[in-house]
Amino acid sequence: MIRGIKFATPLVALALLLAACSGDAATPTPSPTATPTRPAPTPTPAPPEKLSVMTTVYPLAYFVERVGGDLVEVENLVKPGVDAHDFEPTAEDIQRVSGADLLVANGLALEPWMGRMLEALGDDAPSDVIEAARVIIESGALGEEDEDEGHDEDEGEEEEEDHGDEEGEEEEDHGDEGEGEEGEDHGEELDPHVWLDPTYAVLQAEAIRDALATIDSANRELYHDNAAALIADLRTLHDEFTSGLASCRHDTFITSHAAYGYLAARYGLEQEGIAGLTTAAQPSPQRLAEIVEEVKADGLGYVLVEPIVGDRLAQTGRTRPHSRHRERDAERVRRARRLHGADAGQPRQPQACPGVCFVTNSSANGAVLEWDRVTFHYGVGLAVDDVSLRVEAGEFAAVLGPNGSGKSTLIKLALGILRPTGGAVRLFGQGIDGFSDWVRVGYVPQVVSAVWSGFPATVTETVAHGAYRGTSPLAIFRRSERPDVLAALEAVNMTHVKSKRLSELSLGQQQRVLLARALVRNPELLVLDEPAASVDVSGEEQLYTVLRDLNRDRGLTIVLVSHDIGAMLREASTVCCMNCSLVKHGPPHELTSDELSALYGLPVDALIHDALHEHR
Amino acid sequence: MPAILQYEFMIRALIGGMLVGILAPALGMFIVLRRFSLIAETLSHVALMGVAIGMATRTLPSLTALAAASIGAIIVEQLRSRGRLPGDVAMAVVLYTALAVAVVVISFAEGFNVDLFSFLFGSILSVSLLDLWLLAGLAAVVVVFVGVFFVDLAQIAFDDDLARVNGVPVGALNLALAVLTGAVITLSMRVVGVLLVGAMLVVPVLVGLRVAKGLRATFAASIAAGAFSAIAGLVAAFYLDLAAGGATVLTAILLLVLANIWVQLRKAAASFRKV
Repeated sequence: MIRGIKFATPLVALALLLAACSGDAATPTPSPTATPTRPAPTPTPAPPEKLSVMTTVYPLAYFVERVGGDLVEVENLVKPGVDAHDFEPTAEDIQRVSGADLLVANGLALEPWMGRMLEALGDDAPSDVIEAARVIIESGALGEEDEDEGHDEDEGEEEEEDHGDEEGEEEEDHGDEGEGEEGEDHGEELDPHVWLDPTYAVLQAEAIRDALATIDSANRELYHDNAAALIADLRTLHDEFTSGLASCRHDTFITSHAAYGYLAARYGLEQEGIAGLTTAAQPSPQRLAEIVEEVKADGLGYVLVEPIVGDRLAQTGRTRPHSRHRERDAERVRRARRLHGADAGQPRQPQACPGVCFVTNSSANGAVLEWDRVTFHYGVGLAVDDVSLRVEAGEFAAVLGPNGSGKSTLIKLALGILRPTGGAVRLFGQGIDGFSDWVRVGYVPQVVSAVWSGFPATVTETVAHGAYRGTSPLAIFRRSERPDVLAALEAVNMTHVKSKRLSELSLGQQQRVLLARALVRNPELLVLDEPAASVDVSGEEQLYTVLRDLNRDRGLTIVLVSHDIGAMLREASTVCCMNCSLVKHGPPHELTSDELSALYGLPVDALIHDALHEHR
Repeated sequence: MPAILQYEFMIRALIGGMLVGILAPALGMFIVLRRFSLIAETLSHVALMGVAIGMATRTLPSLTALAAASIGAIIVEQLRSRGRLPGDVAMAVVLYTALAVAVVVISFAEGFNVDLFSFLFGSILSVSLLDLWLLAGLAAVVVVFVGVFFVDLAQIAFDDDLARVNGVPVGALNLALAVLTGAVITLSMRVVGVLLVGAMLVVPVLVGLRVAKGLRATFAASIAAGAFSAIAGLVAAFYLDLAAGGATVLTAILLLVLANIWVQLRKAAASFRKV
């Protein structure tokens, strides 16, 4: 704030009054000079029942306490540290208000929620409601002098929509409120921080005094005496401001939000609010730049902050030239805050050739993949029931079965994607749980999730990722177009689309790219889940030709799930028929039409042409 | 020197904004490609809960937010990966729980609702030196993480199951990605705000996906779009007197619109050439 305002007294008073604005009344430590003494004890015995008064913000609570003394029980709605502008009454708050004899609010849109609250209360609203700032308007004291009060930053100001409602409540006890509507018009443009100017605070105190005296006319004298003491204190404060501010080196002070318009106007000062009239609005960059300029130009050393806003913005406004003042600033801020009460595996066989060279499987015990009494439940449903099955090295095993027969589940169990509920799965003789030699396995799923997300990888990138052999740092910089990748693409006849995005290809083409992705690993076991599902007849023939060559010429073990009975009977060396449990396992020619019909639940003819089996 | 660079707070805002512009899409790409964008929204609200708790308990809100976002990330990931709930439902549950807790804590605690505003809408103009250091530290971690695990993350985004069969440590990486995303969101939240932070993870990536082909090119384009949006947004905010967080996100959206127009024009030109 105020290097110019050299006197501690006004600073303390400002701080105290600001506390009122932010509703921060945790420790309204009265300064001996600036703040009046507590009210004198009332001479008459307290009536059996005290008047219950609700206030919205701390300064009003303080005024009511002073004026009412022991005759009233004051409760304040907006809790310490909460901003009245953004306060939202809880159900309990509303109940407390309904039980009060008098509600004292500030008005002028300081409490935009009040109209809604009173509306919600309906007939339960307190019979007496005064808006202390509005009274000042009605008295005519808030005249031309205030109209140019430098509140040009009121873009953040939230105007109250419900004024009309409050007005209705108010009229009951203010018979002289003929010009209520007029007052409202003023209210929409005026700064609500009236109490920060001691002179206006006097008017508010008088309004409170009159309201109390009307409700409890028996103690009228007492209210008048108490109010007189408060008013005297406020006048003393005014005098201290006047004399204390008379010899300022600067007349500009910076505040976190522009609440000091009335005070500034009264004592010939200039306020620069970082934020606007309400504390909620974040200042724009331009506004901050202006403030920084001003700080530099005028050599201002201090920014007055409220604990409610925090000093981030103020810190922003601070510039290097003033760094030597930082310690002092910090101390000053800390002091102001105190016043506000704010302190409170298996080795992989080496690969010799750089291109695609599909190694012949040489697994010692011959079983590449083994399900041993495997059971699997999806929730309560049994998907795989006690299946025991071995796939030997070099085998081309086809898994057949109707929909929901557990074929894909069997595959997912083999690959460790699902864990069996009972039994064991072994890959290359190792239990699936400890298996880490994944580079020996190639997998072609039916569909990949990337298809739906518009995955940006090119075909080359997709295939290159198949060669993954464990995390390698800086793989991000590795070339995708390598001989092994191109060879794998060549093997599935997809070289011509190598720089396209995967998502630009047809499903059949995607399937072949996925196959290349599996092949680039040089796997010993290739697992495919319905690879021909989205492929046309010629694509299907190409696919099976590739698989046949891989199996026959390179000894690659293949496990393939399919619905295509004809193709499987033609291509596979063994057929496994699944219907939750394993129905049949053996060479295709042993499979009878009756067995197939029983499996699918409809007549199926198995015509196996021996000539096609010659290659086995 | 242009006016915008004469102020320390603007320089800090520009550096902070740029770091967010780079960090958010760097992780955002793997999230968008997994069709998991809602996690940004979820974690930002979890972080908000952390802020509320931090303010209520008078601890550093940034730290409590970071802790909350990390724990939230782990919970979402656990719910999703164990298959107890579908991903979107898991996120919805966590999001609304966090938001409800935040609202309750806010109603209990006293004295911070205004600062909460700066968390909701961002306060890029009050980026502190500490924020910058935290962002820079996180940037270093993210660069190393993405540098080392780029292919792994891409594989997971490509297909979870396929990645698993390829030997990618899917569970651990998903968890790490979620926790890092929580951290990026928490630190970016200070800059762009809870309500908009998700946009910085998603929109620049969408721009990248429109204009680039290939994973690495898309990654680079997304980061460029993010950084550009941050800088251009702040410059616009400074000279046109706009809210910084909103201007940044709107710049990214504008880029997305331009990218779409460009793609359409290219398509039209290509079909014209064919004719």
